[in-house]
Amino acid sequence: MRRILPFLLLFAAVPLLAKEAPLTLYRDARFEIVPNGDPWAPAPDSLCAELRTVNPELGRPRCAVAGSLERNDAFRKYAAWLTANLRGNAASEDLEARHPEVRKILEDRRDDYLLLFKRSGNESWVVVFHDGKRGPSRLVRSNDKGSLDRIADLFSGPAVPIPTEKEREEAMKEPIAFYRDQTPVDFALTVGAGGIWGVGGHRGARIDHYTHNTDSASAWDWLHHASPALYVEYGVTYARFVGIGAFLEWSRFGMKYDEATNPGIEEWTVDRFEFGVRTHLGYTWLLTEKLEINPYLLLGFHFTAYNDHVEWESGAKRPMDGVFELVAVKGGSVGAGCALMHGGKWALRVETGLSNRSRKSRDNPVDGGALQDRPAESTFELFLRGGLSWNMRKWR
Amino acid sequence: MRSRRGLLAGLALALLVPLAGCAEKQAALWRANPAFADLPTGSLAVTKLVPEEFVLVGRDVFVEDLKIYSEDVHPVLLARSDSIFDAWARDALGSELRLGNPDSLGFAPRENHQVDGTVFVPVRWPWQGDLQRAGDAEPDLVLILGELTVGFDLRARSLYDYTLANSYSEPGEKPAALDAALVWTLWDNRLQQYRAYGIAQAERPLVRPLTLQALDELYAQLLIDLQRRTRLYREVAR
Repeated sequence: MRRILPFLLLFAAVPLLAKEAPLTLYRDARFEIVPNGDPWAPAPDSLCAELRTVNPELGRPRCAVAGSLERNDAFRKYAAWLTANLRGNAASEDLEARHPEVRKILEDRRDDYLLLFKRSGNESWVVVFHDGKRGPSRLVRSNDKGSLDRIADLFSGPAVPIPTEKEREEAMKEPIAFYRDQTPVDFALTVGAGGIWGVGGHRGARIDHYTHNTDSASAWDWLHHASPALYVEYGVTYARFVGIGAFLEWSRFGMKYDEATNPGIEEWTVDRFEFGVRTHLGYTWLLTEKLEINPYLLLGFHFTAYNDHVEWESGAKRPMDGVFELVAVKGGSVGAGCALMHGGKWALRVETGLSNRSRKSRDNPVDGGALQDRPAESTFELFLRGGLSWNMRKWR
Repeated sequence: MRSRRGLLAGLALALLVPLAGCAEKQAALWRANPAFADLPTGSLAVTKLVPEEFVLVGRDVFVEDLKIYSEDVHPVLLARSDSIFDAWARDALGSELRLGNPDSLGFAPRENHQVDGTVFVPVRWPWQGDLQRAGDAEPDLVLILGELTVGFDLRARSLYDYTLANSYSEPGEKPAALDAALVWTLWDNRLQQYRAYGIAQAERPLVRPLTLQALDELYAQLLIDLQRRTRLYREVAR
């Protein structure tokens, strides 16, 4: 459970991040009060005075009683209906106007703020229609005595000039800021660490002689099964979707040797260097404006080189008839990972998968003779890596 | 060994948990208005069916088995359905108030409203602010009967869930069941707002030849489901 808790938290957090968009405020806008016969509704002059006081950014708001709406039968009906249906738990889509004429009226007043005030008992309501929506853009319920008390909360913040029709069209076509401001090509340098766990091989195997190790098909016959690893990767992704990178990974393994038949060896270790290319294919979701999550699938190809170190005891006789056979083999890896990136700059990534090394088929003897095993030609392992990457994404 | 098993289990869970989160939840077939916590009470009126919203699927079978002329089968079964609903409203709900059908009452045109998830139903509702009258009385509640579909091997869910809209039965397959699906709305006449709406459904094994008694049994089952969904009982609906 502890292992999967971060994943659970991550997926649980996604719906919580969605929140109500703030009311767009326009400078020099028109505010209309729906006349619904409620004496609690403020006079236009006092509304305008309050608006100028609470938010100077609103410029010179104009306030009026929506007289034309009072004379409109359909709208008057809707206003009365809405006033009767204001309830704490009411879903906002259930309060939308259904009559086409009322919808047209609200669409026509897209740039204006249509306000409806209602007070019954201890409860007071302020309803705002804006942006041509079919229903209330804001519904505020409170127990305040004054009808203007909620105005400050509703209309505070920066205001913008009312956009023209052309500006509106352009804004509709524009991608969201996060994608608009970035070039698709993204170079990234990743540094990380992880672990390697060998699969297969004979766990109890021991190397008899320093120079005789040619009968081991899996490297895990002569290397200890697990090791920490360090890696560095430099790569490029396109549109956060497909990527390729070169990497170098280092790990160090102890050797499994028989001390009785290998006298004089004090310490015997092997450094493993793996270098190659890794491709990945993924998809990016934005969790918030800045935080993006990018799960991906990995496919890698690599060469492996082993470099062994033997510490001889002083005075020990070093065998001269041969050397430990070091084999560089080719291999591939498949896996899956996930990157969590902040601000398009720094990312934490975790990836896991299976990696192997094997002989190419053209190395088989042409005459069909017996296949000679070569060390480490069939080595499988599981890996788990964590890394920190620095993305050099360009911002326009 | 233990740690490796734990690691594998962790990996499997890390892959499966997000997948399980994506698995689709079965959408409900009715929706209650969240604004009201109490059960609906008061006088009730029931509307009639709109002829265009009474749909027979597989009409040839009805014509063949019920021995009704092809052009008569729809009006005959519509009249029968209306009388069954009338009798149910009178006997089971104790409601004496009658309304016409949404066309004659001047309700709004068909609107599609979301029930849950991907399930949407077409409804005919009164305009906001229009009070319905049954004679001299003003009922507190109106049960609006919408689209009624009677046919073979139908599923209410595949009729109204748009993700299942294009699922057809295999040609040549013999129908096994007689089904009915009814779109209903329990309308608050005082506030001109819905209390609940949804789909009631019934299914009976199909026995050929089809008889009117089999249809009556189907309707009885449909009305039990409707009554359960609308929570209308004799005690609450005076």
